[in-house]
Amino acid sequence: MSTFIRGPVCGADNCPSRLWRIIDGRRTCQYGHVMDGDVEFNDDEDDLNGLAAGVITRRLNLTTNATGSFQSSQLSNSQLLLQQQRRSHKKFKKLIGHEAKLLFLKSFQFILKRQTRWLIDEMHFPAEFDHVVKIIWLKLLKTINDQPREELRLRLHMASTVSILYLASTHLSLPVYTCDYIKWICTTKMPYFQASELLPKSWRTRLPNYYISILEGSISPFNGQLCNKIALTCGTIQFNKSFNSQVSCQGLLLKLVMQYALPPEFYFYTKQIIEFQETDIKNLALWERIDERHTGPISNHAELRIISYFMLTIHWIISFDQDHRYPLKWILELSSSLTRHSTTRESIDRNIVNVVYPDKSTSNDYFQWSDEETLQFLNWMEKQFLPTQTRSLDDESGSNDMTIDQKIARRKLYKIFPLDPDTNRDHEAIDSKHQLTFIEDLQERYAKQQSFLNNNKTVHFTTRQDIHLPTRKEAVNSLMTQIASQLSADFAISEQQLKDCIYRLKKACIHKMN
Amino acid sequence: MFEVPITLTNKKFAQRRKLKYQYINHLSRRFDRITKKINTTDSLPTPENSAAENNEEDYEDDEEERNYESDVGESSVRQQTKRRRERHWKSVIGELYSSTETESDSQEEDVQEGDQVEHETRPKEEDTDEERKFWKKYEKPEKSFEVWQTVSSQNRSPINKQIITYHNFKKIEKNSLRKMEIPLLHCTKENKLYFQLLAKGLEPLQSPTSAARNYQTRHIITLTNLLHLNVSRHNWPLAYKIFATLIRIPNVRIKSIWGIGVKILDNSPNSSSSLDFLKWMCQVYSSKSRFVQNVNYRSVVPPFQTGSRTHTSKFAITYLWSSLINCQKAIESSNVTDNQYEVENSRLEELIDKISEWVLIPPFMEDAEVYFIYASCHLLKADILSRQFVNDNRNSDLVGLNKDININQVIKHIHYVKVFLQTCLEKGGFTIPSRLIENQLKSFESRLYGEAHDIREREMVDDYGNTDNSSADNSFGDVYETNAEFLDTQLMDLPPIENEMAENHYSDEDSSE
Repeated sequence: MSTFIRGPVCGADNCPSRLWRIIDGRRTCQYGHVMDGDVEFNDDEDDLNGLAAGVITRRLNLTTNATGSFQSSQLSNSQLLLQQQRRSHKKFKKLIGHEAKLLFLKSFQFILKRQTRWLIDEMHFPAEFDHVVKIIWLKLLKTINDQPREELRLRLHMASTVSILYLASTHLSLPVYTCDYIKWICTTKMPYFQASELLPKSWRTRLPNYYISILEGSISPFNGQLCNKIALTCGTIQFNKSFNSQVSCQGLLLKLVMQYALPPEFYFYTKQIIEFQETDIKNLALWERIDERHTGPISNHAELRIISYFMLTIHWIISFDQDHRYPLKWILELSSSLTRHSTTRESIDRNIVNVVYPDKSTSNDYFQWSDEETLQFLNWMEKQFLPTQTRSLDDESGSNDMTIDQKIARRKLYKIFPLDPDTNRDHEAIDSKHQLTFIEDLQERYAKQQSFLNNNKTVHFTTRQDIHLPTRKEAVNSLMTQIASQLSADFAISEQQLKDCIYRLKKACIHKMN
Repeated sequence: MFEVPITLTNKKFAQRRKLKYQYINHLSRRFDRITKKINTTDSLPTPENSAAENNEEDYEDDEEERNYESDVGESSVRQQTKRRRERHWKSVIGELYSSTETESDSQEEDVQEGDQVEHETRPKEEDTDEERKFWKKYEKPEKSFEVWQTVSSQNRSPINKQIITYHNFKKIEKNSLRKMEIPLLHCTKENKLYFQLLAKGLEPLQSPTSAARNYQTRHIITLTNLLHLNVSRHNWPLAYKIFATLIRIPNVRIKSIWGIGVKILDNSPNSSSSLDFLKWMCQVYSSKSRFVQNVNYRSVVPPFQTGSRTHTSKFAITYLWSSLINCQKAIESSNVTDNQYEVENSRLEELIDKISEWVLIPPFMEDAEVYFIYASCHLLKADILSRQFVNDNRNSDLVGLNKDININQVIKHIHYVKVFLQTCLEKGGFTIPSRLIENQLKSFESRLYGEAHDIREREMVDDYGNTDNSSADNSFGDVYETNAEFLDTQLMDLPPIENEMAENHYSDEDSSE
């Protein structure tokens, strides 16, 4: 037996060898150290099944089982001892009590800092953003500090990081809204999911598991959780007193109008309704929630009010129009353009967000995805998602929870299934060139509508004859349903909540009109 | 939509399961009490059970039945205690009783009965895991999804034909529901609703995966669905990419999707072969632990995902089959003189070596299918070797001593085929076209000698060459008659001792080569 077999590190006298061979039935490493407790003997019965006589008997336990460990032996005793010692060392023990809380606050702050830096670097937020976040965080820390130490409740969650960032961006009147934050975290652009992996290793090993699981952010905020969290954070630090809490309504409206490629007049219609109802557009301020237990009506949140007004406007304008300005065909075209699958970066991002929420009607859209969309989704998976999942696994020294055998096995598996065989790469390169930008896509969508809006006189008569077309009411309803489902996914609220909010505002509007 | 390759466990599901089994167990206990039957068997209406039913009806009247059953009840309880003691001692001694294991496993049902009787008499017994208690009543299949017990007659029990009135049924239900009130107090609103739904016999539309909210889980679900979708559309490049992505996510159980992976690799031209993957599976997941009936295998469905001491894992079998078929194909296509031929030949040798090692260790040594594959390997080898005599008649190598050696080799392989087929038949549970193979062997052997048979044999090889592995019907054999007198092994119906001697002889030659 002269061939070497790869196995665990020998370790005797700091021997680095991983190669083993069998000499006289004893496992011996490259440099001649004999492995403890690994004696191999030939225990086959000689006439197995009546045919073994005369056949050369084979030794069974020569091989490594490809996970790299020898089948006959585990780690040698000295190595096991070493590992246990390392585990029980003080440096690796989990903290408890107050110290753990302090470390958690430090970790939280660390993640917050990473997020802020990402926003400034990648999204080109102003440099002052950093300071504002700091001030808000300090205010929040102060409220935590004011609590008695015995019954200290942190009430921090990964959603709190987003709410702090959101408050800061509102203070600076940046045109950034909850939907943007949701999109950024769901596409793992901004550190959120598995954020605990970002922490320095020494912190992570000492942080209690409970806190680590909080920092993993396992579930993306849903059913208006993010709005509620923002309101609560706002309430705890009394945001309105010292900060600018006015939501920049115009930006959001513009965004919505562009997203659905509506004619520009809808922007003004909506603005008028808001000004009529709220008396001034500046009155849309963040809501401070004091009550911890009860979330209150969803229509308290300024942003949700804006999108509800927006939907209300579309509904009223289109319903009462009666084919004068906005013919039926235009509505149909609009609603079909919403479901059309394109591969702009925005629509890919939207696909990803939709997948994350299980109870939305859009969550099963991927059954209709084109190959191109699927490919884009997979590319995103490969480039953005997988790195966050396997961050700790990749650095070899960092992962304590995997034995060397498992690592070897995993590496072998990845070799069998390389992520991108060379054939795919050229294909991708061509594809990325053809990707439409948002502006191009928007232009295309407006151009498509144009024919319906301009010569509506001629269209007017042709539509009447076509029996297959749905009635105007049906078309409007289906359009509204589509917009509602998209909006509820974007803002991470449930469709029921959106419906409630719209209903409430509608009632208020009608009341005021009368 | 499709089965997700991760284990979905959380508090919610655990609570649901607990409620469900608590309710079912309580219901069945009440039912037993009301029907005054001590020895209820909660067995399913299997063919055997109904057969047992019929037998009983032959010689028993309705009045006697009651007596009979109580008799059986007592005796069975006695039997069970005896059996249990026996098992206990066996486990103390540490004896391996794998041969009797299936039998004792199937008696689990009876043991549970005994437990129930005890439970009735001593209601203050400690509260065990309700789910386990429920599943103890049923046989957990290891090799297939269903188990019909035909082996032992003791397990046959009549189908429970007793009728209860609607009033009684309502009474039982009401009682059990009342009992459930307390646990329901402590659970979430959603789970309470879920339970009430189940209790009314409705099926919740929401599957556990459709409601999962975890970010990672959501993506795994999406990828799984996309994978199935693209495999069904035969969109292999995309499916490959999805699979490669999926296995890189931590916590994904590759054991439950290996089949798809093999299929994808078979259909992607520029990737590593599926054999490598199967080999990897065999090496990494070669579990030899014993299949324990008492454990609830919630996440892992044993038949397709794992192996155990008594059950060969499916990926191992697939590995053997596909490597054999690969060898066969490669050899068929390549020429004898080719370099390629040598490579393939050595691969076949390797495969034979590997199986010969495998059959020495537990799961494989009891598996008839493995032995059949082993025999098929030798069949292929014999075919290749014997073909030299047909094709290369004018080959100068095949004279004198060389010819003898070659003939001996062929005979050795033919002999092995017979031995392993015999083993395969002894192990049972696997049907083989033995007639067909015998004829095949005859034809191989006759190649060695008579040129006169040449033409006929060639025809035969052409007919069967490709189908020898499939289980085609074996009635063809009669058509071909060979002169058995010419052939060595056909007359070699030797007693075992001589058999061994013959082998001795061959292997000596082997080593001298």
